[in-house]
Amino acid sequence: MTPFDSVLTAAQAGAEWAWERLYRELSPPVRGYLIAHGAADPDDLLGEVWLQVARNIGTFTGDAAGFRSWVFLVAHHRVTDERRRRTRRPQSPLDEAAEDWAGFAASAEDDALVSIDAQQVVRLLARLTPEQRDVLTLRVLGDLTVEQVAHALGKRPGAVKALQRRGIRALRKVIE
Amino acid sequence: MQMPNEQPSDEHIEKLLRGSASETSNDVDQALRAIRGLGRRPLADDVVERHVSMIAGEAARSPRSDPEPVLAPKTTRRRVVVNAVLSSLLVKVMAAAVAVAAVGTGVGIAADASVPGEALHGLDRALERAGIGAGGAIERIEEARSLVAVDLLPAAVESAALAADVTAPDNAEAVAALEAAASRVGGSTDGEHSALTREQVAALVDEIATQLQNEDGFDAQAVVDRALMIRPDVELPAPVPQDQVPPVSVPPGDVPPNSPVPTIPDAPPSETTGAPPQSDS
Repeated sequence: MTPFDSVLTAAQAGAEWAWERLYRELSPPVRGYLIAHGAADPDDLLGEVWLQVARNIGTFTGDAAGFRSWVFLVAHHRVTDERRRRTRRPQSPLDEAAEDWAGFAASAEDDALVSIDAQQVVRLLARLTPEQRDVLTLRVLGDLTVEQVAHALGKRPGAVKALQRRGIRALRKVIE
Repeated sequence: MQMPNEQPSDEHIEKLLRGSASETSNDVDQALRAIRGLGRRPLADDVVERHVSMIAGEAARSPRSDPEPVLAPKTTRRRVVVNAVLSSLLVKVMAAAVAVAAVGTGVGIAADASVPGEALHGLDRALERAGIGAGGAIERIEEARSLVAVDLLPAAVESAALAADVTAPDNAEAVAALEAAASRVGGSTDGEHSALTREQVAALVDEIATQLQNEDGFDAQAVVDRALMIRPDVELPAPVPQDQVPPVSVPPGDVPPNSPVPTIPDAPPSETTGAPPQSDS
């Protein structure tokens, strides 16, 4: 039994300390992923993600990397649901992300990335197609491999590579 | 160097996405770093508390939940001891979990759920009075005690260090002394510890628990003193005549037990008693 197995076993039994550790380890990047996709209330959506993880924790088998990938898959489903709901509503952070991002480029030169206005990053990502955004954010924020992203999105690895290539190209075009 | 109008290779894209591109002035690299920065934003304590309580309750109600954590085999526990000393953060915190799995009780849960009359309740109340909410030092102390019980001493000391860190984050010297003690414990054996070492670690954990309840504030010096007593890498010599005492071997850079104890200035009471719970990750 590995250390992760022990935490997983305790989490499956409802041990709060185990959930706190899993939550603290994964929530910052998951919340970043939700923000990147324009979640109106990222904290609220983060809670929904973890509730779904908690409800299904008994069915999970795998290692720490697999758990991370699974949590991001749940997060992806939640933002996809919200994206669908958003198409029926007129306003959302992504809808409003039509401004140019002149201020962003200057801020990005600062190493203190956490100080960058999240809305500026969201505006940048809004220039990508949803699929490009899914791939780049799962790779960068989820730290998932091409294969894990392919599994999460139901695509072939080659298609994921093509999307990330086009996404990078689109980013460069926006910046230039 | 990737030129602006060149098509990036898959290898270069991979480096960009992993944040390992050598050229940091590239605009795309900066943009990706900014995206990555979204995932480094700290979580609000009240959100963490609310979510963790909610999801643990949900998991406990899950029909597939296993109420009895699996007993970890002893050979695995030995490996975990080594891992705990090597300790990436994830390994460090997860090593503590083995104890609960081993004893099959989930002591960490009991800490939060302590009620008047139970042994933990006094400490729980004291921590709350000090402004330290549930989910902090008390859990670390209980984990440390559980780990001592199953002979996972390095992880026990590390849990104790986390308790001290949560309570008095400014006392870096105390935490450093505890981490050094954990390293000494882990480096001395492959998992089997002497009764003396076990007693020393248990005394250290008790000292930290005592200091957590100290109405005059957390006495870091007392903790440092206890930590320096833990010397499993130094074999106790058999009684010999005074003129034949062999020299004690001390690893380079370490502090011998009879060295002057470093002085740690007292932190202002407001910083040690009014601090909110700190993340251990």
